[in-house]
Formats: sequence, C-alpha cells, structure tokens
Amino acid sequence: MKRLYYLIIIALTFLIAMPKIAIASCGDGIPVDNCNNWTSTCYNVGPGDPIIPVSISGPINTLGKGVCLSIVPSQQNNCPNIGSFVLIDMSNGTYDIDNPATNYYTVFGSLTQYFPNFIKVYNPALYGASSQTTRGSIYITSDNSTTYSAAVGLSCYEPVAPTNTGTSWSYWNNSSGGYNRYIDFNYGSPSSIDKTSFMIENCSTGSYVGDGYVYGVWQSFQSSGVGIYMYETNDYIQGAQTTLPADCTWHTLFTQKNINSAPIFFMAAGYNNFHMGFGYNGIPMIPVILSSFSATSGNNHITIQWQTSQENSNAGFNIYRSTDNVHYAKVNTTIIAPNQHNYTYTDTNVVNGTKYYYKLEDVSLSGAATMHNTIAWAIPSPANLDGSGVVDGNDLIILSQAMGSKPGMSNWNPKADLNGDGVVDEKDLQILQQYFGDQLSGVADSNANTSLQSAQYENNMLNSVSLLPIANTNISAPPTVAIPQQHQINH
Amino acid sequence: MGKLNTKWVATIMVAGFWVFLATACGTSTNKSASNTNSTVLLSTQQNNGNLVVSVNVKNISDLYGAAVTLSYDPTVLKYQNAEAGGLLNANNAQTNFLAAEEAGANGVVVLGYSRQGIENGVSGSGTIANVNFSVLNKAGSLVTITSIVLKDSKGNIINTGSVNPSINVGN
Repeated sequence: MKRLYYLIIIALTFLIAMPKIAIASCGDGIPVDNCNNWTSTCYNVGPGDPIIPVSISGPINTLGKGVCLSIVPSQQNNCPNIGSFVLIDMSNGTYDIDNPATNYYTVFGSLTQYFPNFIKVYNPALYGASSQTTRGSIYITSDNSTTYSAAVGLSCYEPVAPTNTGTSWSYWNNSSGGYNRYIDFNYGSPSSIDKTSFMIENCSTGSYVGDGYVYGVWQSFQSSGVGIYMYETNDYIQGAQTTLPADCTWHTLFTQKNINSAPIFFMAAGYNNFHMGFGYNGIPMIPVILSSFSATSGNNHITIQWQTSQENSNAGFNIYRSTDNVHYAKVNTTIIAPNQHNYTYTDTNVVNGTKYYYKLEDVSLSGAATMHNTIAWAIPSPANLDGSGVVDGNDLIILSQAMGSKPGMSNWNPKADLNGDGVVDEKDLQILQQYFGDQLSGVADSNANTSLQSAQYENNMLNSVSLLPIANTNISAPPTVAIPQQHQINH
Repeated sequence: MGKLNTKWVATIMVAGFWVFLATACGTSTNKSASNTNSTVLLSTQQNNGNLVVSVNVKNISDLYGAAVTLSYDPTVLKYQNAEAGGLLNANNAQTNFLAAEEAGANGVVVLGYSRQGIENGVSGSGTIANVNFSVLNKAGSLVTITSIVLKDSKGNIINTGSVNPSINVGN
C-alpha cells in the first residue's frame, strides 16, 4: 500500500533578531519512517543564540492524522555539526511542560547512527486537545557549548520506538491464529544516553481483537558486572528498580501488563546496549464496519445518516461531498465524534436543485483514515415534505391539507409553504408540481471496498502499539560497545 | 318503582361501558386508522387502442388523500397521462391531482390525489386514478402497485383490508 507522506518545512521567525542563526539549505533529513518525500530545513544554532521557534501548521490538518516532528542529522557539508539540541515544548505557552532540563535530544554525527527524536504532533481536529499531548510548536536551541546543525522537518506519523539501526516491528504468530507483535530496539554506542524512559500505550486497539495485554522481554549486552536497571515508571528516583543481568539472553521483563486503561512506563538506566521487546496479543480487525449510509433531502439542506455495526478505537468521522462524484471535499470542519452506531449530520451549505454526492471516512485513534465506498446522493428540494426519496403523492396530501392556511390556523404547516410567502396556496402547489416524481436521494454505489479496507488493516497493524520515548537525559557517556545483531523473539 | 330503578341503573351502566369504549378508542394515539373492510384493486379497459389502468378502492371510510406508485414494463407499455378518478370529488370538494413518471426510474408512475384544506374524507367505493398507456406490444406483463398510502381527514394512514397489487395487462 502506498502511503502518502506529507511534509512541512518549519517556519523560522525572528530572523532579524537572531543574526547568528544561519539557515542552510541542506534539507536532507533522513526519512525516519520510510517517508520517501521527507524534507526538512537545516538549522544551525550556536552558543548564545536565541531559541528558534518552530511552528507546525498547514499540512497537519490536511494530513488526516498525526505527524512526527523529527530531528535528524544533516549529511550535507554545510550542516556538518551534529550535536545536542534542546527541544522545549511550547504547546501550552510555557517552556516547561516537561522538564526542560531533561529535554535534551541528542543526534549523532554519522549517516548510520542517527537518533530520530519523535515529537508526536496530533491533529487536534482529530484527537481533541485533551485526548493527547499536542505539541503544536517547539523551540530549538543549542546547549550553549558549540554550534550544531540538524535537519528539522515533519514526517508522517508512525508511533514507533526510537528506532536505531535495524530496529523494526516484528511479528510472531500466537496460538489463536492472530499476531503478537513486538518492537526490538537497540541502544548501541556511542551514546550519551544512559537513562531512557518509554511509555507503552495502546493507541489502536481497534485494529486488534486482543486482550489489551502486552508482554515484555529484554536482552542486555553490557559487559559483565555492569548492570542495567529497569524501572517500572518514568521516574527512576521513585520507581522500583530491577537489576538486569547482562548475560546476552532474552529475559521476561513482565508477563502481562494491561494497557487498556492507561499507559505503562518503563525506564532503563545504567548503560546502553540492550534490546527490549513488547508483544501485543491480538487478532487484526477492521476498526469500523458501516452498516448503512444514506442521505435525505429537505429545503436547502441535506441530512446524512449512517449506522455502524462495529466501532473500535474510532476517533470519529469525516463527511466528504461532491457535485460531480469525482472531486470530493470535506464538509465537516471538526471531526464528528463517535457516539456508537447511530449518526446524523445536516449539511446546510447546499443549493436547492443541485445533486450532491457524499462519502464517509472514519478515522482511527491511531490516525488511520478509511474512506468507505458507499456513495449517497441527494438533491435538496422544498417539495420533499415527508423526507422520502421521491416527491410523490404523500407530499401532495401534506400540502393539500395545509392548502389555504396561514400561520396561526389549525392546518398551517410551514413546510407546505414552499415559496415562503406566508400562505399555502396554488403557487406552492405549482412548485410541488415542478418536482413531482423527482427522485431526491439514493445510493450511487453500495459495494464494499474490500481492497481498501484490507490495505487499511495493514496500516493499522503498524500502529497498534506504540512505544514512545518520553525523556532522555544526558548524564554521562558510557564506554563504547559494539552494536549486537538483531535478535528475534521466539514464542 | 324499585324494578324500574334497577333497570335504569343497568341500562346506564351498559351505556356507560360503551361510552367508555368509544372514548378510549377515540383518544387512541395510534396514527393509523383501520379500515379492514376496504379493498384496493386495479382494473383495466381499452380506450381507442390505449390501455387504461384504474386504481380503485372499495368500502373505504374517511378517505382524504391517496398516494400511489405504479410500476409497469416499459417495453410493453408507454405511459401517456393520468386523470383523477371521481372518488374524492364528492360534494364538489376541491381536490388536487398530480401524476408523473418517476425521474430516473424506468416504468414507474407516481400518482397523488387529495382533497384540500380542512375537509372530511370520503366514504364508499370509487376510482382514485385512471392511468393511460399506449400499448407497445401485446406481450403479457403486469402493472403493479408498488406503494400506496391512503390517508384520512386527520392525516392518519388508513390500513386497508386488502390490496390486490397487480393486474395482468397482456393477452
């Protein structure tokens, strides 16, 4: 499945006030999640330079899902220096959403050893301001010791762990015929990171019929006698510590952790070079099954109704409209929140007599959008008094009952006053006659698009469980140890 | 006198029972009226080489309006026009009649016939509409009532006793 990747170049403001900041045109960030068209802007930040505000706009809203802001090293000569940056979350207008002292994100200096630091940027229209941490803007600056450069850009949202060399999601079959999946990440050397915490969140249960439990394993490669400590928290001071032997074999970190209700946190501290794997037990499934989708017309409005027979991890719906059944545009300005199974949306931005086509898109919590293939159409008309799909004899009866009436009379029916002149008379009857026999709504194509859903299913598999680095602290640089080969978890 | 009083009491109780029943029925919130003795049926006749299909009702009560949809085989019949039957014109009441081929549907005629304003319905038997077809060929085919809505003077749907939905117009 081809995936669309939207990229955005970060705006650099306050340029006049920050003369030392040079913006090179290297624009060569590494596609951290296979975003083929990943582009970026190179920033050079030196000691004493003011922070660079980086705002995110535009494409996020059109992307239809979340994006990641990634900082990766540049490989061009005019961006030679790779070092530490300080990322300060400004989403709430403060510098200290997280602890800015711990918000150092280190990039490495070679092509193969990069450290893409993901800042999850959710589309507020899809997720709401409260459902996720929205990092709509960040600031970057140097660590006040040297001048650094990095390419900064946006890539498509792929909630994966901090991928180091060779890291990727893997799968193994479970006993029920479904899938377990795990991500295996390896902190190789060199690294100045020796304390890293991870949040495991169940961000897309809808793509799996699972028990909501993850399974954890780990493997350490540190030389003998030097331990790695695992904390079941994101705070190494408060968390209970487990010493992990460095024996280069896989160990069970935990057998079951329920991630249905809340994320869980882990922190590895001590030294680098270890693998962690988290498996999720579940069977892939389609998040939303649409059981009906229809449109009915009224006077200067069209009502779209749909029902679902299944919803899992559904962030909501979008409605797309077209007048030629080719070019569709989204109608709703904010995502239509899920309310489980029965929905009604009224489109008032329509003109009587024009035929409108509608399609429905569902968006999962992981940001995956699925356009359903059913196309409902409707022609707004003042003559559709009973809301049926045809102007017929029943509409005539309704109008006839109100014939001769004015407001305040017992048989007054404002719907029957088709021309809105305050009286139901022959003129209204003539309007009804113009439309009589017209079909005003229907379904253009009710065939399920199984191929689309199948592709979506594959996409959702990749987003089922996310492991997110939530803090990396630059404490001390441990000795360099060769990166071990990737290990497969076998169950 | 005592016997007379007992008789009167009994009579009043029985009458009260029936008044109660009538009142209970009259205050029903059901939006449909039952007219179990009524029948809807189609009939045909020839008219100068054309075929006239009539939509008829029998034993109807308080009929205010009718909405009828007919389907036919467009390879056999061609719709020409339709005229109101005389049923709803009782007492020279104002009526409205509309007929048209359904747009986008091949072989469907939509009919509407109604009294207008605040009027009582019509009771009895008669014709709702006469639909004129020219005959394209003499192959056997059906003209069918695909939907019919009969409403009384209160706007309630009349549940008819039976509907004979089709008639064979072939040889």
